[in-house]
Amino acid sequence: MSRVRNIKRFAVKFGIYGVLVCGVGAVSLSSAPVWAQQVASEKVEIPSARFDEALQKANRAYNEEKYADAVESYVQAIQERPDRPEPYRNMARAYFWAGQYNAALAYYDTYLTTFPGASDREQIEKERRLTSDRTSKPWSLPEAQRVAMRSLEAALAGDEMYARGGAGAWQSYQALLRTGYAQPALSKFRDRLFQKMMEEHDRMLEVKSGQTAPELDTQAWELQEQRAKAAEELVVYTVQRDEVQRRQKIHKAAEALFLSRYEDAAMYAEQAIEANEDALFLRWFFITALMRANKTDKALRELEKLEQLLEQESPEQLQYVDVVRAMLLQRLDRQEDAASIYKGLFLKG
Amino acid sequence: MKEFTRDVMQNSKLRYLVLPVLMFIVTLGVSFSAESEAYAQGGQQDAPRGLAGNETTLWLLDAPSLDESVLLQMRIALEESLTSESGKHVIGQEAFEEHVTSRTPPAPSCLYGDGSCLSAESMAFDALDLALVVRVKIRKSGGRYEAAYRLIDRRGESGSSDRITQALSPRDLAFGLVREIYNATGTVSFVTTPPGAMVYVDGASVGETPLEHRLPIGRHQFSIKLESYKPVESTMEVSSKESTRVELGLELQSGILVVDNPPPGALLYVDGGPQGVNAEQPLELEPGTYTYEIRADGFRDKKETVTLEPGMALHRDAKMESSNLLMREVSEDAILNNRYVLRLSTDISFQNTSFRGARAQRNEPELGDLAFERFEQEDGETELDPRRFFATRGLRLDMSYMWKNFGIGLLSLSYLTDSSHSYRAIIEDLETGAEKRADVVRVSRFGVRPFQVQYRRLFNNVAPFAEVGLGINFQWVTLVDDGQADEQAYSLRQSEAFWTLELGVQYFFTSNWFAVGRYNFHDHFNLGVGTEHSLSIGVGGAFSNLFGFEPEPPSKL
Repeated sequence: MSRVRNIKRFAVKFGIYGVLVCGVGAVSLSSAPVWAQQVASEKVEIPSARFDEALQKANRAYNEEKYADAVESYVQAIQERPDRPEPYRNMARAYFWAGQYNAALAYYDTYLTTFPGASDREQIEKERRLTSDRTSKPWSLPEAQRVAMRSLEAALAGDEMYARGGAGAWQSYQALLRTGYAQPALSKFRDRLFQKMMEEHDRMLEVKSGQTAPELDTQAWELQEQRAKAAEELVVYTVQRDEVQRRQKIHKAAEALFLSRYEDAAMYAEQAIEANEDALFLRWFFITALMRANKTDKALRELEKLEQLLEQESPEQLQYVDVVRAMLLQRLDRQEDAASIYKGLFLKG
Repeated sequence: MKEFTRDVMQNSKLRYLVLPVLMFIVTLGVSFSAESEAYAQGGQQDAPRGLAGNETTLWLLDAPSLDESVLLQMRIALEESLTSESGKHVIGQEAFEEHVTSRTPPAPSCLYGDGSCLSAESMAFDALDLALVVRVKIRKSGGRYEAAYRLIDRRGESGSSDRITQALSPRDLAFGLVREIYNATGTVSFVTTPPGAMVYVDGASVGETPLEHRLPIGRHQFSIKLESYKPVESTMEVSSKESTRVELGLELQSGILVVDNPPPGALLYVDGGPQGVNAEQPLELEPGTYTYEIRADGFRDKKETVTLEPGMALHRDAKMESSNLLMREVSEDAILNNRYVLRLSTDISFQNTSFRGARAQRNEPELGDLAFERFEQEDGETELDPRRFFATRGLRLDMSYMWKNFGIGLLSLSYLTDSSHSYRAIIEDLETGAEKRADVVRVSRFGVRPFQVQYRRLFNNVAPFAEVGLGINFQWVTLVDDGQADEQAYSLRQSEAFWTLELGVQYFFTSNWFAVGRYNFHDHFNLGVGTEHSLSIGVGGAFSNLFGFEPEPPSKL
């Protein structure tokens, strides 16, 4: 039954609020070609257990007339899925019963303007009228929320999204959530933050010229892992989840390498390569892991594959292919061949 | 002779006989290398790097236009001349292949980004555990032997062009070459506490401490990095005469303290420091144990002791308790919207009064009405109509309708009595004019206030108020005649109009329920009745939509 309702809710969301979702899609992929935007508008949302729990908890509290608790949980629900209508409406009602008519009025308005096609519009408009009779005070975003929102906007325009200890825009976003900010605009912030965190993540993985892999130490990898984990909390759509998981495979390989678990590292590196075909450095991960796991023959075969790719994409890395080949030959007791490669290097120029 | 020498060089046993000194140095090197391995924590996958005496130098000799014997002479002479120089020297193709065979280099960490790869050459240096490669091209020109040589270290080539040295014989050439090279370079050793730190010289990584490294003489920039420790950057002077020693105790990196969910404006004080910092920002501190305190307006200070690890972020939750137990979060709007207000209180009222004018009709028609004449004067009392003190106690019920600040009383009733005093009074029989003595044993009052106006101000959940109004007290004075039993008591009745001023405060627990306390001043229009002061405490309820006319949101979802 709940499945049917979910599907219905989903249908309603995309039928009636399609415009909104398309808008979000267009924001996050503004530079993408037209066909990509169309794909984006068909993004599949991941069911959120946290949202369902928060909403249920809130409704329970509402029915027990614990309106402050209810509001708190509605805020959580909105923060979890800012584009779902129910929590806004119910929060307005909870505020009504808590006697905070101006806040109730604001949330009735949010509901009515953000979800103009809602089926209970008539009833809600009545409730809104009653509420507006009871208050003359205008409602405005609490100062703390306004300040937090501005600082998040500034942080998103800056260049630090997720740094050590969670500093950066991520922290500003968390600070905004802590102020109890629960507005539809949260979707927009969340999407942007997610995208920028992914960009930041990938920027860290850029391979400098003359290098074979991004130069990161265990702490930096740990930070990458935390960054991806943080980004995971922002995920709404399956495409976003896939994006995160793709990167987490890289972390797993790196972690195993740094922890000297080379058999695992080789396995994870292979999986990471499959998920991130373009990242040539993962092939170096793979070869290094194979070498350290004493799988010399396989390493040599992978090295040859990599050599072909590098010839096209990154010829400056070919010099390392030679040295690594020499090292592998050394292990295969082909010291004459190895020595001649080494000698060639020392006599070069 | 030539063939014999080659045989000697290819037979490793004989070679050891020919080169016993070199062998000794190699042995020495191995024992040092074992020692360095024991030191090298965390770098197990890398080959142990040399301590003093374990540098390996590769000599690549090339004499394309000369007889092979020249090369052999050079090799032997080099080996001889190099005995005074520390380290292992690999000279010539065979020795090189031998050297290659003797190693199984691990895959370099820089390939997966743990440190940077300087170049393929430096990787080859690491793979073969070389400190220096000397490339020598030998030729003969005008009867003299000439060596064009180039020094290559792990950072690349030391000199861009070949240096040239000349001699009359290959042997002299070899000795001259060694003298020249070792004057142009010097060794530097890096030792750190703890060991295992990565050393970078002139921007390129050269190995982990403890480490001995050969460099061209002159000034070099170096940096030393170890996870969890602060990096060190400096410069050093390398000379050919003596080995330079860099010895460093590394300092631990800062830890980070992150306070989660601080209340807005919370400040963080570390170890009782006078300066608070914004608790929302992560705080960098030296590793160690700290006591910190979070302070925020409206919250109780929170103190906690934490231990910070180097380079780690420690998250602490800053859940703080509200410090003000009196101020509650009750919606002002809701209080204001609950317009029907009921109050029930217990009152105590103090008054010096006289009951002059209180009367009673007696049932038997032949008896005249009775009236209160006055309280009996006590000794030394001169007043004609003396007053007596009463403290009446009882209940009061009010109902009012409130707007935001003003309200009107819809109903206010009170009933108070005092039977704790007994005063002598003179009662007059109005029919006969006769006076008699009686004791006042009880006073009861029923008060009605038909007209009241209230003004209030709301401060959060506390509403001080003032009220003025008019009212009437219906009063019964119970008397027992002198010498009569209590059962013979009778009452005189009287009503008095008054105006009141009340000052009080309501404290809302929720928007519906509150406590009330008030002071009440009654002034009677009849001047004979003294002013009355009363205090009351009570509870109240405030309700909106009492009669359910308005369309509200559902109470259950």
